[in-house]
Amino acid sequence: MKFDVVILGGGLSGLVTALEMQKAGRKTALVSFGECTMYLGSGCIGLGSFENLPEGHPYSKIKNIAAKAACIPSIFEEAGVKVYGDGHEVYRVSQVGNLLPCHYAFSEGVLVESAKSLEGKHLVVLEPENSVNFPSSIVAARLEALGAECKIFSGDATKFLSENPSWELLNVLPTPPSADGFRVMGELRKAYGAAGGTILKGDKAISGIVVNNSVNSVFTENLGYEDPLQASCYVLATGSFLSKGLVATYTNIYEPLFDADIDVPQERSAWVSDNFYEDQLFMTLGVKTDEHFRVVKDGEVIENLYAVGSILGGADRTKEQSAEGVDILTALAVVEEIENAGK
Amino acid sequence: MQENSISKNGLEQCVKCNVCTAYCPMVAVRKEYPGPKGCGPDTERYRLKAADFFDETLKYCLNCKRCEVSCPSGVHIADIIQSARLNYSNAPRKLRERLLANTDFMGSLASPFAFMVNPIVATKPVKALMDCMLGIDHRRTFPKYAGQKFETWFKKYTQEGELTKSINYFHGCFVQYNFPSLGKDFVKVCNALGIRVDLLEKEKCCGVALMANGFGKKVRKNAEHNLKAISAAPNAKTVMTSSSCCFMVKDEYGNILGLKHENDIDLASRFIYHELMAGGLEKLHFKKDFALKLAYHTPCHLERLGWGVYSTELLRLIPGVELTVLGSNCCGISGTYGFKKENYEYSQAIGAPLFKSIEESGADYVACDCETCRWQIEMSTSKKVLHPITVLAMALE
Repeated sequence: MKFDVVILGGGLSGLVTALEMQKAGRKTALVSFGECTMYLGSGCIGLGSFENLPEGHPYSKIKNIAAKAACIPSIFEEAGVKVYGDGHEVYRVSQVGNLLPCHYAFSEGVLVESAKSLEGKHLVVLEPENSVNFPSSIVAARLEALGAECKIFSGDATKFLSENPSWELLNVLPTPPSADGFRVMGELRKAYGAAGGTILKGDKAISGIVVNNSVNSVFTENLGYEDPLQASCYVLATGSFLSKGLVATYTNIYEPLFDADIDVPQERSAWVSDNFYEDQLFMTLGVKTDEHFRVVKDGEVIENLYAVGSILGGADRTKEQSAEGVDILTALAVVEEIENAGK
Repeated sequence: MQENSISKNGLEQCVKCNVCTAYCPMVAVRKEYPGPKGCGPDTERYRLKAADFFDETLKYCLNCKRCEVSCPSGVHIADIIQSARLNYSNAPRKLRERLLANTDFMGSLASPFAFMVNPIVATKPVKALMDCMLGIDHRRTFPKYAGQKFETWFKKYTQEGELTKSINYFHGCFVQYNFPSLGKDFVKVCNALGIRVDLLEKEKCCGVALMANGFGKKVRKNAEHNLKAISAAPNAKTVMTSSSCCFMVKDEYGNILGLKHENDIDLASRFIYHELMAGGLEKLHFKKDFALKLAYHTPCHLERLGWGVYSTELLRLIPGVELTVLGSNCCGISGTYGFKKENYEYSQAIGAPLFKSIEESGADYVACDCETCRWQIEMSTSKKVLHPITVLAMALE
């Protein structure tokens, strides 16, 4: 089957790439095996910082990054998803009541200006129905330590909130699965389908053929060897360890589809630090790319294979709280690269 | 540490992320259903210890396989649930289950009297009677029986043209008893492409409804019979118009019944797509003024097969077809499930988002490869449903 661009991986980075390429008039296909970490994550967008970047950080390759970041809400709003936040760094309340930096949210009442802004506030903390795991009392205690007054509510708080205007809703996003992540991915997929995109749902890329530093075709489990996916450009968005875009064994860390280059120290002990709270090297491992996000294999650039999202090395997405930012911004950067390469 | 699964259904790979539960259409409408993770990998670990850990909440599972499509870890969740039902359930099978599940027996009984049966089962008193005596919901529209069986027509029909290739056609109960015109369309399209159609010596119901209603022995008997008939058939390739029959024979015979086989099973839409791409398109004479706005609904079982793309690409090859692909939703009928009185409300609630998107699509017709989705959509929306093969036949001169 022939397409202009084939995107391997249906997570946030892959879907944004596919949607934007399809909207730009390309015929695209998206291979998506299982649901992505958006279903497990916060359901917010954290961008991290664009300054003082560590060496090799994907952000350092993105041109006009601030302008691209400013486009983020419109991607979602065009797909019918309301976005909260104006793009400056604010906070969300984690599942145990910590304040974590982030930039946008998809639900009302999620974002908090700062720890200081909570002082003297009257907050309604919602306890999701049927959720036995949500530690609402811990969340409330942490917020009260910051000077807020909390009321835990299970069920509908609309009536209470309308009768007590001094109280406001604090939306703590509960433990996985993430309702917002679920909804947002659904709407993006719908927009992609409406734009004429082809989703190969539940299908898995199993091998890629590279000839003369160029991907010739990709085979998937369901289409089999009878129907290779062929395109002028391919985008590798298969994710990191959890999504099996990267695979770790006892002796090696590798990228299973193209065996792209990864800078892995030989000694396994160097991959991790014994102290859980220290920086972990494996968190920043990913495939090597050139300045145009093209994948490097055996020291040479594969000319028509781009990488986006968490398969890229160089960012500690959890520590930086930049996961969604890296996904969306590298996707937008690669869309631009492919457009420019076509000119 | 064990790196790979030793179970055949990937049980050990479940990371308890609950994505399947969030994705399950039944969980969304029925609170008493613990969901795919709970009924599948979670409690399977106990059932492996002792069969009395089995409980009947597993019967709420539609076997739509959407959990498996959503699973990031490749666990065959619905296979675990269906296998457990077949192996451990002691629930009594009522007359209703026997009537609904034995589609070929009912079809052969009703077909000769179609002129009487169709109007009778459509009347209010009969519907009310079936509702209170059998528990078949009175709001459900029954698929009509055809007076002449497909095989009867086929035996009298002479296939014409220069037929250089041949395939076996597994027509399924729906084409045989309810809707022979789809089978006729398939034969017509194949002949136009230079392909002769042969039938199996004798095909039995694929058993999808038997399995759903817990008739373990009968479904195995049918499966063994069909596999023997397919192996003995004149051609290597066996093609099916029904996506659920195709999924059942291709995947479920092996994954649930343990009857692994190497037969070349193909879906009609996929087979014809490949034929058109391999030079067949030039052989066909299309109507010049053909114009049809279609909205394609991917049946759950076809989504699990991963072959929906062949149906949509096939439709896009037909000149004059304007296609939109509907968002992925279960229609809610799940074969015989939605016919049962206690399931009717849930069945319609599950299908509601799909019905809404169909009404909003602005299409002339819905296209779909599954017959039970077709019943559900035709009953619950203002649109008629066409099989992609029928659309192609309509477009030909």
